[in-house]
Amino acid sequence: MVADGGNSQRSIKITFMIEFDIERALTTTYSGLGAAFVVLVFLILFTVVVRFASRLRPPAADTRIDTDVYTPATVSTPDPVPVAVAAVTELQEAGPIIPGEEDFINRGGNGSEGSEDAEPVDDWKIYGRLEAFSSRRVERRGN
Amino acid sequence: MEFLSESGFASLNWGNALLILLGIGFAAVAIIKRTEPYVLLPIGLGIILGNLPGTGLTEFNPSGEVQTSGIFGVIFHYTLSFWNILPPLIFLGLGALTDFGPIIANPKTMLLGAAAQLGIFVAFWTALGLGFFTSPDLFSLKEAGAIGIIGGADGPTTIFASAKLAPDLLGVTAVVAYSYMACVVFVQPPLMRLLTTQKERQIRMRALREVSKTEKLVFPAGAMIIIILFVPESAPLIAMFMIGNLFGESGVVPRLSNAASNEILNIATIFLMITIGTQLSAERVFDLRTLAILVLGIAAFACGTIGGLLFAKLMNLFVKEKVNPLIGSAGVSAVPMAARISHTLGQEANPGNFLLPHAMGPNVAGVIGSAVVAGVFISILA
Repeated sequence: MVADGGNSQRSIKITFMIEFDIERALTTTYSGLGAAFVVLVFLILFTVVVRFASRLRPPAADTRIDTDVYTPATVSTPDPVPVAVAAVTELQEAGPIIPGEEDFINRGGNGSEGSEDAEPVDDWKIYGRLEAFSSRRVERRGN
Repeated sequence: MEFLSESGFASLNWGNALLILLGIGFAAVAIIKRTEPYVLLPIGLGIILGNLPGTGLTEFNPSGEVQTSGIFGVIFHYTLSFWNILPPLIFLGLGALTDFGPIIANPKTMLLGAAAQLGIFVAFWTALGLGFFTSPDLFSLKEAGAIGIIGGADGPTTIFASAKLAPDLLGVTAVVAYSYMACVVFVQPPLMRLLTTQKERQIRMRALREVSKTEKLVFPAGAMIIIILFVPESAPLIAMFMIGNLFGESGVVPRLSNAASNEILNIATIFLMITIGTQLSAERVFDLRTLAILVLGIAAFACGTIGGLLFAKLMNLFVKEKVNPLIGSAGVSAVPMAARISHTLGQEANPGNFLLPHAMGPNVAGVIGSAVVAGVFISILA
């Protein structure tokens, strides 16, 4: 503490601020650094527990049905291969659906190659073909 | 001539001009050198805009009869200083991009993320100490806390803590944090070479084990609960980080995960970076406090790096399977630059070294650690 009045007042003020600040600053420091370590140590322990817990589970105990996987023993789904073959056969038997469709197919879809005398097929015809095809399939299935 | 006296030229001072040049420099480095372009380009453009006089872009006067607030003033007020929502949104995106696999596979590396928080406390105490040598009012305890968080090398966390502890310093602390993160490639390697021997840098670490999907799902959920129970103030950052990660790891909400890691992260980055740049006006930058923050920021980064490196060396005294101390420096968040530097230096010492996955462990732990420390600072100091 300094002898003269003005300076002593300033010294007291600074001393007070330092003491006050140091106390809170120390609390902040050990709490902050401590929290970082404690939290991460807990996470390490948690990770270890999760690892061992996941190892403990025997694979045979898992009886859930994974619906993403085709499992003939548990789900009565028809064999997909015959179904696909039948669908292709049905399409082949159906023949051309609208006039000019063969030309369209011969021209490689909507491309420019193909027979020169083929009737140009625009997008509306493609949509019409699809619509007609889908409605005929509905009729054939009877529903 | 009357026109010129009312234009921005009349109010332009040397400080504005200097900062406009700095902004152009940031943008040039981003475009030409492609160094951290997502950070430096928007911040650089923001600095230029923030220093063009008479625009009112950064003003915020909600009470006036006539609306005079500028767009960046409004964004700054509502998304940073008042509601502080942009840092958590960025954490949501970062969470969706994060892979916890490395720390689950080698959990002891999480301790390196805690040790690298040393920089925060060195900067905190130095900021307080500077006040004793210059003026007791140089930095208050809250301001020292905001400056200290720069040492965590995590931009969103720095902004989050600054907005709560010292909103006046937000622009400066954020720019210092992001600038030093961009410069981490210059700051860290000399310290890493200085504090490790060639033999230590050559240490090869065994490939990480494969982590099951169950572990990847349970870890973020459990970590979120544990961390928030310990430090509730860190909830906005930690919760968003873990939610983003769970979106990605669950695999059932790809649209949400993509939105978090692309659209939301990008939009938040645009607003955050430009707005932060606009806060670097000449009046704020050219004073003793800003210069002190610049010095303290780099000291904090350096001390964080040193803390991680030395702790890794300390760990090697006790563990059977040695860790390469270079991965310790990745404990400062700066994801993924710090991990990349560890990897590069490891390969320099031993071309067969592949440290990147190992360094990502402390890197991600550093993000968690700095968010935890920020939460503690806010709970005690705010």
